[in-house]
Amino acid sequence: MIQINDLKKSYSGITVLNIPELKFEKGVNFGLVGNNGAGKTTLFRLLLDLIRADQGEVNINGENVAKSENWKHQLGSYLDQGFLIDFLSPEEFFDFVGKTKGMSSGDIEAFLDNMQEFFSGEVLGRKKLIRNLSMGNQQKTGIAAALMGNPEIVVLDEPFNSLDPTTQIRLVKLIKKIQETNGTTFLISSHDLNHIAEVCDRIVVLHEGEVAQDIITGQDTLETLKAYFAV
Amino acid sequence: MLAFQFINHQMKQARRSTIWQKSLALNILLIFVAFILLAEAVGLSLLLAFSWHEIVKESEVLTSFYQLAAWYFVGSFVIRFFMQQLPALEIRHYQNLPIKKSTLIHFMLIKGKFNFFTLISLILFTPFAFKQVGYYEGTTAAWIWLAGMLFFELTINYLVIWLKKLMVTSLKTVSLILGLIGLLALGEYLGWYSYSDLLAALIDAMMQNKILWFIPLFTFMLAYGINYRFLKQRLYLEEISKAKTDTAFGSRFGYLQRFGIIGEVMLLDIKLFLRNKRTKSILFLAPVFLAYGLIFYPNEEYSSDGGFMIFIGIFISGFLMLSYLQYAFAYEGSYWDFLISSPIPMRQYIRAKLYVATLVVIVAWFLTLPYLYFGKSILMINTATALFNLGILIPMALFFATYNKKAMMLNKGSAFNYQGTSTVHWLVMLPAFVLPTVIYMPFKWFGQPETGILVLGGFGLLALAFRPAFAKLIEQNLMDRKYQMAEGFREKN
Repeated sequence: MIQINDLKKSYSGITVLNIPELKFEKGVNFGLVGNNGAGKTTLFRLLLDLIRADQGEVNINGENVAKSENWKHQLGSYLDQGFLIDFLSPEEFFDFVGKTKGMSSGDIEAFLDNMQEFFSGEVLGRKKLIRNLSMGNQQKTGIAAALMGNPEIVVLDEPFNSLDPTTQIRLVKLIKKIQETNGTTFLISSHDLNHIAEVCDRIVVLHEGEVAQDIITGQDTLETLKAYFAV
Repeated sequence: MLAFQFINHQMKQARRSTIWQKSLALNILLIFVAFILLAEAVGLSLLLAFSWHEIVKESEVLTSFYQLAAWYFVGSFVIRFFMQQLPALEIRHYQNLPIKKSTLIHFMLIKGKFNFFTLISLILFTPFAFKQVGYYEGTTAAWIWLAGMLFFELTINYLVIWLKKLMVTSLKTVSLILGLIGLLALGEYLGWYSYSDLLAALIDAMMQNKILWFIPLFTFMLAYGINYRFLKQRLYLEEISKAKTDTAFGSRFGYLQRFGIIGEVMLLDIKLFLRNKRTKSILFLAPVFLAYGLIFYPNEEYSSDGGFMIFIGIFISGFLMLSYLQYAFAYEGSYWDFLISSPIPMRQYIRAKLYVATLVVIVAWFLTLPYLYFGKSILMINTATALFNLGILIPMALFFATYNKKAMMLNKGSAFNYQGTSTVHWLVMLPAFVLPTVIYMPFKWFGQPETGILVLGGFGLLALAFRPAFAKLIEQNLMDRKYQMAEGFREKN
């Protein structure tokens, strides 16, 4: 479903990402781990066509992301606060995102009803603008917006950051549920090895822009990862 | 010791600010403007000092100056209220360190004393003090007088700081302040009472009885004290950074949503303008620019069909449009990544911007129809320039907006705020005003001003017909430049 060919990106002469080939299969949740500067966010940004690749291409369902706009309908994403319109209230933001994804007002309402548990009553109906929400609640807002409109693929960059423990556990459950019911494929990066091993079916370790390990998640995945990072 | 540290940090902050690396041309321009203002202040102060007694030719040379000073203080208050930025030491970084609260507050307040406006007052009053006051009352009195005037000025300074902290600049407070000052001026004009006589009498009395000079010192200390207490009670992050929760302003334009995704994007832009400090202050300025014609139209010096009128016409119907379109993308810099990865088709996005700009120009044109009072040719010029704005300047401004790749920080007011602006801004503004004049003037020189106006409007109409082609050009340019823009916008300054 997603195919990366010969992808390279460098900043001022230093290669930050170099992936000869990488394939993402439908329905297989994909985890990305790696220390700071390993190229996780760069990979996601290339995937979303937010930066220009020096070489190579990313294809989503056979379409080069840099050359078409159709894939945007099949993909939901939340990387950082740059994905939030901070002078809107969460309701208005969901409304806007929903409309861009072709949802009706009824669809949006039903979607938000389903998200109530994940929000733990802290996002909606507060009469606050997004810029006045706490980091954690902004994070919830962004993640929820990425899930709108039943996208085939959801890209989340460090989604567990700034979430409280309860919400982290709820997010894990939510991701698994959506994957099962809608067949959605998640692409998630995280520093939290526990969560990523729990949610993802396949985990890639990036190191200095290159794929260092490619693991199908099993019983001992967590141990393997811990051993890898314990230097 | 600590004060030196603070000053050191402040200087580093100023020196390392991205504003200096941004654009040499802009900095030169700013320094040039500041230099001109200072030079003018020095010139004016010397003129007052050396020839005030000749200008007024009265027995009460000093008293008449005090009356002038009284209004100067009012002016200073108004200008400070609208232009002056609040002194802000980024106390966030210091609050967790073992530094006394009172030290932080004093430093913040004392820093607020040193600003451009206080400097201007110092320049204006000093020569007068020694040349005129010194001549009539002696050098000691001149020193005391100067100190007194500066304390008055500082009182105003702190009063403004306090008032600005107390209330936000909204239409209500602005009209309240302008109303009060209008009342003050009206009363004086109609002879009910005289504020300037009162203050002049006070200063006169102070000259007689030097002990009274403690009054300005006292008002200064009072204003400083009020600020100190106000801040001391509120030196908690949440109360300084989020004094009040924003209200969801602008949700009434819901009917735009009926126009599908274009309507959604238009609505988003309207909310952006209504809910952010910087864009709001642009909106407050807009009526001032609409009224710009009032300064020039009644004036006999400007012929009603001169090239200058073309300039005014472009300005009146184009000011808000240009402020909006030039930074159309930079305003959205903080969520640009979201926009370009969301399924909003670029074409619709561009069209939404063009529609909003078109609406803005049409509304501005409509509101200035009453200028017909000043003659038919004014109306014709304003209509032709509005068409020129619609047809040519709108697509041009949006095309060049892609070259502004610095995200606009929307939470600061816009007066004297050059964050996010760049040389491109000036490069676009220049042809915007020169081009129509260049088209018009040859006709005027050959004695055919009306033909010139028709040609100008005709160009606008013709270009309007080509708008879809322009939109396509803008779209291609945007597609090509979106990565560079995204990279620029991500660098939060």
